[in-house]
Amino acid sequence: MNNTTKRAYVLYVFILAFMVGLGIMVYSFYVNGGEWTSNLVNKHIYSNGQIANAGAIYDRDGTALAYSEDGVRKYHRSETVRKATLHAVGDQSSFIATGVQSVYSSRLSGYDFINGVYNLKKYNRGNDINLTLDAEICKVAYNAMNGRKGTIGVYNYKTGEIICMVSTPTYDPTNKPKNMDGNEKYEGVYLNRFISGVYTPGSTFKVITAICALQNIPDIESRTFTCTGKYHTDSGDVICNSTHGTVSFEKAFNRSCNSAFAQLALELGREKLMTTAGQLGFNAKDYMGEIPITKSSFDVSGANDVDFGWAGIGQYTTLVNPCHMLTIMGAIANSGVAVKPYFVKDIVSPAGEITVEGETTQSEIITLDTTVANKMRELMRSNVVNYYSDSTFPGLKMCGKTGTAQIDDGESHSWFVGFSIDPETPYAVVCVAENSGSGLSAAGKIVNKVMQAVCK
Amino acid sequence: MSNENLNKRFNWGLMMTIITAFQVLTSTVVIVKDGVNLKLLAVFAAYIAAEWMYFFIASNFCGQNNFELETIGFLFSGIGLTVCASVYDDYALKQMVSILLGLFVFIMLLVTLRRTDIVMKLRMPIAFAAVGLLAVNLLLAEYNNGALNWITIAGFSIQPSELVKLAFIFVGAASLDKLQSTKSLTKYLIFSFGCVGALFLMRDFGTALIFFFTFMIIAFMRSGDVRTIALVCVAAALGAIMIIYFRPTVAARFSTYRHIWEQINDAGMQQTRVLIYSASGGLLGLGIGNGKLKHIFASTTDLVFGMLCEEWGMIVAFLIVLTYVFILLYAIKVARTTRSAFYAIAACAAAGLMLFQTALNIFGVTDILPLTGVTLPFISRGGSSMICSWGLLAFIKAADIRTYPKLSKTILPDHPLYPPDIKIGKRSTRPTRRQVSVPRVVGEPINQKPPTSQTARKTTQTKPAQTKTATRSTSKDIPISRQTRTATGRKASTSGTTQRSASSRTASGTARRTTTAKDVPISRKSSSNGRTKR
Repeated sequence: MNNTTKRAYVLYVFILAFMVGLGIMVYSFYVNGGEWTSNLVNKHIYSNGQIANAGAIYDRDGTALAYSEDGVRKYHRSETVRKATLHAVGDQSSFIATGVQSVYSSRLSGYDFINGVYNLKKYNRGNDINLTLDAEICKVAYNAMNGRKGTIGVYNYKTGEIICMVSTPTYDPTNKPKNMDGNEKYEGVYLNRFISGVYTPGSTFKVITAICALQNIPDIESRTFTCTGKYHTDSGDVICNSTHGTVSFEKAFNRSCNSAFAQLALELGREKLMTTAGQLGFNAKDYMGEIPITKSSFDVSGANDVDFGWAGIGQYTTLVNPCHMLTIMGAIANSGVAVKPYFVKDIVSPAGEITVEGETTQSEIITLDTTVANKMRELMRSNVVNYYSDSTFPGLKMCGKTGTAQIDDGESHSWFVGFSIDPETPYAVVCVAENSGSGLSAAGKIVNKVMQAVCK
Repeated sequence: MSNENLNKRFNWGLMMTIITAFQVLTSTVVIVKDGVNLKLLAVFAAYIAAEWMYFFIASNFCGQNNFELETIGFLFSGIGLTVCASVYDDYALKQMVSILLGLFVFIMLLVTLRRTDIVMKLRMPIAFAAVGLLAVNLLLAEYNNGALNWITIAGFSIQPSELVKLAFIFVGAASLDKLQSTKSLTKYLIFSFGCVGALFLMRDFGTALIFFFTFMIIAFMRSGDVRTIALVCVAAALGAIMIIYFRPTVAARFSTYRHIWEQINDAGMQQTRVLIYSASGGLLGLGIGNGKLKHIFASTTDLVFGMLCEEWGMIVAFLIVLTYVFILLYAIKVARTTRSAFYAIAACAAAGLMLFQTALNIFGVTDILPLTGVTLPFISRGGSSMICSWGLLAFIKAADIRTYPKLSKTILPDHPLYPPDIKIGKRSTRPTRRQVSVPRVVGEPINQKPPTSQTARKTTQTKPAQTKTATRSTSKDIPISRQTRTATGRKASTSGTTQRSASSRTASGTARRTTTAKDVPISRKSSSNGRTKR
């Protein structure tokens, strides 16, 4: 009898196991609760897989870009603004993975471990999110793209605030087209090309080659190059866009001379160019808040001479993410200090509590020497003054570099990267217009329209 | 004595009032949800009246002064009723009737369990009735969500396996009461394999596991032999692997385990919704009737834990499941002072079963364990489950010495359980009694009969058992006899292995045997036609 009851100790083992199980359960609710509640099948937040009840999303002027009313998700009244801000705001079904409505869904729902989504149910609102974007500038940018695919991003290189971020193709979230699947017109429509896209950089990569040259060749500014329309290596020729004759380093950069920069790349060598690219954040993973930025890649370790020559002028396997390129521009403009871009400013709870999400921080992946940055800024200013002409950007003090990225099929991608050196308007800009030909004629014009609106 | 004083001082009337207040509050939310629902009002009023009637009669006419288990039962049944009424108001009446039926079974079991002699007489009939019920179930079964565990009689669908759970503990505790009797162990093994086998045929994997777990508690508490249990476990594990291999529905459930998010809209539907909506409820809950999990299939039965988390809050849900832990701790505590091993085993088995079923349910729906589709005691909607839950409580309450206070003097005045010098329930006398009695008991056989009697006894114990199982295996079905044959084979080998184990066992073994012979009337009776006479 006593033995019998003593044997009940096995039940203590069982109780212990049960308590461990409960512990695991509480822990997993605590850790994963936010993610689980943001699942599309959660009918407290979503209705038929579409976001219905959630907090509002405002632009920098307090204009509501998205909000909920009586269990229906509503957007800005202007169709153009809806299309222009779609990739920042995100769609209703979280197809756009980097949109605020996807990434911050648990915050928009006002979820917390103690109350669950009670506030959302009771007050019909979750946390509101303020963005740094300017809806009007995004609208201008969307119109300037004029139906081209691509992206345009503008940010304040002193504070990091992104005021314009547009990715095309896009669509109206209140009236989603039905025939998007497999439709060439909507290719990659759910991709925010600014954050998640990568492109062949073309001549804009010459900025990186030039930085490497400034770092490693002491007399680079007094050097001259001879361009015969192509640069010959043992394994083939790098073709130039023109025959530039004998040009200085500055002029070679102005004219975007392929011969000169292929020669420079080969002179610098694979190792040094890869080191510089690494210092500028190539091949490194970065995040904008919680949003992962697709990394730029540059690898010439296995390239033969002609391929390496092409790599030096932004062809070969090199791929650049527009947001990353914008941050490099910011570093050059800001005397070597690369400020990280962000577009989610803060989160406001129904009670008025403010959680700061984005603030001015320095990029961990980009390091640039001040003197090199300043020299680079002069070279980019020289591009506009001596080659593109200030009249291309009337009333602005722009620095920039164009790019015409040759791709395997179709017309070249048109790039423009640059920044304004006016201290009143410390904005850097990146623009990619897909299959649009030369850099200045397409991307340059888009950038001008947007920067006119930005610097107004 | 201090315990009884404490219980007298504890105001159970106040406790009942608090519970009633809670039930009035929660049921009001449901009743006034869409205007005043008079039908629901009547159901809840009747339920609360029934609670008070039980309390009034039990405390005033039956000499009951402790209501720990009943108050838990009332509170939880009430929560279950409210959850049920908040989703399907048509079912509320049925559920209320189920609770009353459960209460009736609780009372009837308590009355029956008071008389161990009646328990012994009922043991075999109940065993046969249980197996018969499962057999009828198998014959008439309706295919229901991958399991065949339902039968419909006169418009009422019942789940016989729930009722068999009570029989399983009843028979198990009663037949294994006799110590180290291979015959009774074999009988119970056959009964257990019959039950578990029937459940496998019904594809009710969860309930089969519960039976297996309960079997282990009972068997271990009787024999205390870890190796026997280990052997049974290994055999069961092999069996389980075979089941998974051959039964596609069970295999599908296991393949879903830990992959629920990949099958969010088919196999993992229930678990993912439980997790999503439980998290949405937070610690404090969204309020009764404000949840979304109720629209998911089986929300008030298998998934009711998720509904509690979502609507009542995780704090309430976790307090409820923690209460099952306390019920088990309570059962272990009352088992120490109860008057016979039968009560101790029955109480621990019942409380263990309840907690194990709770574990399968709540860890199943949250994907910590594979989903087995068992109910949460008291809370899940369903009559059979409710009756079973109340019946389990009866086993635990029967073990509490305060339940039958006048038993020793009035009902069984010269019962061997109650020698005049032992006061029931006084734990303080126990240690001294044990210290005194053990050496005396050990001394007796050694003095009278030399160790040869021990070994002789051991061989007689194993040999007849072997021949018996051998003859049985020819007449009856083969898999079960194979099981028992391995069990006895192992026993024979251990008895002859080393001198050390034999000698070390002699002291504890004899001590064990004599104590039970004293404690338990059943064992004495059955031993007269058992092996001790030989």
